[in-house]
Amino acid sequence: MALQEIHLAFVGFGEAASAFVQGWAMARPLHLRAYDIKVDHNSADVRERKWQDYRLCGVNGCASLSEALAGSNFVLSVVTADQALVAARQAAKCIEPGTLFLDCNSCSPGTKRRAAEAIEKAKGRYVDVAIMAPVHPALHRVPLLLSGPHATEALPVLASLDMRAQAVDGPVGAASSIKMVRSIMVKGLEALTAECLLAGRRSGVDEQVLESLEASFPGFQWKERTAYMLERVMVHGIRRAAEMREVALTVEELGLCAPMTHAAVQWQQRIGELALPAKDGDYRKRADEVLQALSEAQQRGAMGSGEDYHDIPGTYIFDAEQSRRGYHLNMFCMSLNQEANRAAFRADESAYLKRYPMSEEQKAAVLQRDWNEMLRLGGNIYYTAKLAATDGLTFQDLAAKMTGLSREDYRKMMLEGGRSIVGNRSKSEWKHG
Amino acid sequence: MARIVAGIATSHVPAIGVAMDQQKTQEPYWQPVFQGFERSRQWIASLKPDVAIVVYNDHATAFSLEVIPTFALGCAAEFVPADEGWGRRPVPIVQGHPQLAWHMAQSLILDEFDLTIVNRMDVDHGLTVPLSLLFGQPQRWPCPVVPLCVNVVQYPPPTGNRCFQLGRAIRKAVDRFAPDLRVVIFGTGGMSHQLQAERAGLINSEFDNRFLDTLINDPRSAAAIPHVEYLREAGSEGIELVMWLVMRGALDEQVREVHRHYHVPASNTAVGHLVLENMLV
Repeated sequence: MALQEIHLAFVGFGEAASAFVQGWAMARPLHLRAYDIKVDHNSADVRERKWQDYRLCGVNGCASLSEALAGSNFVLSVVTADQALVAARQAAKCIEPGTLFLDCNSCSPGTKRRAAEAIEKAKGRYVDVAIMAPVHPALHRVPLLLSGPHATEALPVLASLDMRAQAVDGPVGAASSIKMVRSIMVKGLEALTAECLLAGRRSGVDEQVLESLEASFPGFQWKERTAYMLERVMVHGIRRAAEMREVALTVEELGLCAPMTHAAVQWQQRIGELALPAKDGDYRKRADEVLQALSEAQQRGAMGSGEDYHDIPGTYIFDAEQSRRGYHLNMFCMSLNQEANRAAFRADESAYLKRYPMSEEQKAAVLQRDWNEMLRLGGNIYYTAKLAATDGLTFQDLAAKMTGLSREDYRKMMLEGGRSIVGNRSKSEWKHG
Repeated sequence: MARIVAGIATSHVPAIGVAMDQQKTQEPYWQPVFQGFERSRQWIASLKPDVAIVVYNDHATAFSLEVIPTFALGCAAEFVPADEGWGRRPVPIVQGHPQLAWHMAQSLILDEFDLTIVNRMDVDHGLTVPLSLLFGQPQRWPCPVVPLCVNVVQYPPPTGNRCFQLGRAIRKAVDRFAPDLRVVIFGTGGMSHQLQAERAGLINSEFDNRFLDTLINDPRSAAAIPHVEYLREAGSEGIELVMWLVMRGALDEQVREVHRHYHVPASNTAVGHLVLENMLV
């Protein structure tokens, strides 16, 4: 396929996509579209930055996935590992028949097979792609491995794009297996290095440890390598943690347990969440930066304000703080376990509430049946459910109200498998509506 | 001597109890939920256990925020099904086994599990729904029950590892009980579900199925799952799964999987169910 016959769409426009575009420079398809979920983000800043990315790279940014896929015959999906399946399923709704869909995300073979199923059902041609090295500095010349029944059909297109692709034998998932199994070592080694280095630095023996390692493994250049590996974790830890969760899945799909991979997820996630810039290139400076930030995070945790669950979206964990705040609200709800009290409450709600020293805010939330507000003000779901029961609502009716869905739509969502975990793990990926 | 012969894990969704009480089990919505328990009912009917230890959590029924025991052991002669706000469930009163329960309390406390002894406790759907699922709707429950109540409502619940270790201590306690009893232990609650706020309705079947496998084959890894992972991955109420670890800790290192059932949804919840037997029984 000649370059200008390629009608290309990016699903996801982050580091990988912009590196490819930069690498192609002028030798790029004229038809070049992109869609990234960040243009739907809650924050206007994030949205605006994404539109700016499109402009800077000179691609035709689209406001919706269907707009990006319309008229495209070649799709590169470069989202994050945990979004890959969602992206494929969404794309399946609007992909044109015959389109080559190259799923370049680092997912388990099982996830890729599920994504392939969705695309193939929509008459798209799914290709499993593994990106085998960092996209910088290689840009579009980064080595790619392809697998699946349409892998060889994608090769000439990638060749026209001057990309370095190679097909491996085997079904969808084969290429990903290579990448995933390799990641056990690459990202695991980073986590291991972080733990060793931080412990060494805190106990003041880092110098001796690295020199002794250098003696055991001469030529590895431990000081330089550790600085580099720590930088990867600091800057890309969250993304790498998501990838390592897929790696763990890969290992477990093979009937093995994956304790090393799970442990690597923890370091990648924890250090990634610190959001440190890793500017200074010296391993000591980087390690100190991480140690300092970890201590601060720990202190916040000990004071109860930086617990690791605060990042979960749409959720109130009933911890010490919430329990103190909501004590009287919950004890009011508890009283509704008795029919006599339910009757008294129904007869005169405001008068009944005076029996409990609740805040005015809490009383208002009760009277207005503002269920989420009750939770925010310290209510616990098992207690507020008693108020719901008094109103004749079931747990499911109550859940529907809290999510802003009708009873029927909520029930339908549950019948279709419930709210997906994908996109609902952390506040950063929360996008309502 | 008494011995633990098998473990049962099951969700305890209140709507399951309602469906049984209102004869809805053959409706298309409920049929696949209950079908997965048919084999288990036959299995337990032929096993005829002498006692069931049921690990469950109280949902603001017997305990409110006035007293929040982390582990509470029911030592009474009987336990009355509670009014949880919808009226009492039409199920038999639960007979206790005070002799075994008191023996367990003593043994566990001397084994450094400082649990709370409870002599009066109404029991809610957390305990009665698993009994209904396994025993159907009899006039009397076929065996006495020792309720073990775990706090999973007030954060933090006991860690998965603590629950697992408690299971091991329960095993030791039962092994030292002289009467010749065949005991089964229930771990209840879960699987993934979130009942509250904007993220309500969360289901994570990948997490759930991985948890089933890990619990059976590599329980120590399952016991190492941190709270935040349950909260994030299995929903805020999915953390009930720590109670399954008490059951697993009370069994052998290697167990035989007799039956497994997984279905989404029952109301807001992913239903999971396991029947595990000790190998040398």
